[in-house]
Amino acid sequence: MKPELFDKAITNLPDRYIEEALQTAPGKKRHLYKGLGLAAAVALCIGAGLFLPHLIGQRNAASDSKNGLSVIVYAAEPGETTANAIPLEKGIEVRTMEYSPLMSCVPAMPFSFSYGDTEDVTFRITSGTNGYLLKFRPTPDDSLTVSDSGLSLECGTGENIYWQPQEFEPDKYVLTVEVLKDGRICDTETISIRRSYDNFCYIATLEDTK
Amino acid sequence: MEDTEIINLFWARKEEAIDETSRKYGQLCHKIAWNILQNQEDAAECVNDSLLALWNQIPPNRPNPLKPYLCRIVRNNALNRFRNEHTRKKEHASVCLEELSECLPSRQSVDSALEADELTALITAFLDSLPKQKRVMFVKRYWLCESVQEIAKEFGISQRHASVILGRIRKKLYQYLEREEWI
Repeated sequence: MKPELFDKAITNLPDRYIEEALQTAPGKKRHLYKGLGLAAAVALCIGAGLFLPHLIGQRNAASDSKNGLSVIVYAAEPGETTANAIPLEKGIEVRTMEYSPLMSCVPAMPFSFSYGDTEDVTFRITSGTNGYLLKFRPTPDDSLTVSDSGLSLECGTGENIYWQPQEFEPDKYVLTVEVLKDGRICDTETISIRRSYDNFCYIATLEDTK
Repeated sequence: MEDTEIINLFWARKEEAIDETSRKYGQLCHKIAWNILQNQEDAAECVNDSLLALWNQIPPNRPNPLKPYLCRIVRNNALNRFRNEHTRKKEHASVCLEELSECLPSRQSVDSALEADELTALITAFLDSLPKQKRVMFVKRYWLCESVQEIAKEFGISQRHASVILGRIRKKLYQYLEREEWI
């Protein structure tokens, strides 16, 4: 069967399922012990009274970060050849696609960037000397050719920048991302990458430098 | 603004209808387009095309409800755009589409709208038999093209757990279609 037929069949699912999925509130975990509900509610009220200012502060920080720099990385489980694009978050490690400088047929590991809803910014990515950055453009025969490369490259919103390690042994690689608006730096983040020693995956995280 | 008021604006051929739709559903549309295209610029263009398509379809149509109708247009536009794009952009959407197609091996018949309708009816019946949580996960993954990680986060479960649940649903769907002699 052609995948298109399945797409068509899925696309035509009744509206009620789409509405149901769109309306489902995210992040709701069910409590296993309903009997403890009242006690938990009381504790929560006391806790909220004590920590409300702190909680509000955290919420503001979270919403601020949503408006700020967002780094998309292509993550995959070991052995998988396809990847999911997901945003990097501070303190959360993401396993990238398998990559070996000598054996991989993929060019390198892609990252892309956005800055809230702002489009008129550029991103300057700088790699440590143990890594290398590349940009590709498609050719008419449907393959890719390197359009730019170096230790520091600039790109626009949603554009892919590819990173590849130049040395196999280092435990830590660093990419610095600077957001430039009208030629001035308005935000900076550091991506930390280390190699997973049980396979050819790399593990990326945003460093908590702020 | 209520959906009925927006639809009335479309019927009155007032361009304000586009603004109101964009204000109310723009973010949702962008998310669906982004889930499939994984590119800000393409997603933005896709949403604009979808709003134009909506403008062209209302009138004569009077969709009720509006939200899934619009989402369907966005999804169709994004998938068409995705298929027309070069292979570099194949990474994300192809994953969830291919996951599903693997439960449907090749069938020696000509694809047709009739076949798609028949398959839709079977999948609908299958989804009716699922508990709500699993049904929502299925639709989020294969209709809204959300990533497994995103779904896992929404349901407060691990990514591995979400993958396992989705894998089991696909397996059940395969068995169901086999029982129904569709495969």
